[in-house]
Amino acid sequence: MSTPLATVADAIDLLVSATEAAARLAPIIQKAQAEGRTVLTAEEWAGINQASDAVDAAAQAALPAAKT
Amino acid sequence: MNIEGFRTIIVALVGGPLVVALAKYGLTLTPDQQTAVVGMVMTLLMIGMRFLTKTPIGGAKATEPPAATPPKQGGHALVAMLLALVAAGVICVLSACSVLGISKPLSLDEQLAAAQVTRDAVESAATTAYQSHTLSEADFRQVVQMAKTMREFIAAAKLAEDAGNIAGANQELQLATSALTALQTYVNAHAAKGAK
Repeated sequence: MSTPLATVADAIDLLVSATEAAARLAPIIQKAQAEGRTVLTAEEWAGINQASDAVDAAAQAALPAAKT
Repeated sequence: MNIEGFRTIIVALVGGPLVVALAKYGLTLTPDQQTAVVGMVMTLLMIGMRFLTKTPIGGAKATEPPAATPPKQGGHALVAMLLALVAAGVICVLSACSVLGISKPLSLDEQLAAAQVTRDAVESAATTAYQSHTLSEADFRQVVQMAKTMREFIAAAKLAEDAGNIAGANQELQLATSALTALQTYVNAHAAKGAK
């Protein structure tokens, strides 16, 4: 049986997993600024894009295949 | 439950005020120390939330059958509120840059990266909401499409920036930001209605 509190627990997991993306970005920006760069390296962008690809893939995988 | 991920929220949502408060008393912490101190506080809060919601630590709910569960009828407003917090949390992480040791304003390239990470967070949140039956399939498809469009704007902005077209890159960034705002608004409004 679902309760609002159980939904909150789901949402806490949701909140945690979603903010992991920001956890990856902060050190990248910190490093860039420490090195005096205003542009992220190709490797850093590759990592960001790879993470976005994973999020997109997860979203696509969640959709019913027959209706995609 | 991923403790490491939660530490981001710690620094973003609680770390700022706490570290500022400590600094007023002359106690300056390194970024690592800030994360550790606030992390301990928020880990305790997290465990408390788990206790209150009677959810076992370790994610036992992941074994639940995804499709057979009927849509949840309660707590949609709470989910919507927390979805908003997801975006707010990411924005706080980025805006609380001084806490993270980032003292300079974000450059255009960094703003693009921030926009993309925020987009990821919202799409990820929507995916979880859909899997939890708090977002309908039609709404979820719309969110996925909007997230895809936003990524295209960001990619276009990055290309323009790399080509030296800063004005064009800024324009694309503004479009991406507008798309993100629309995406957040859509997710919040439709998650509040629930899966129907």
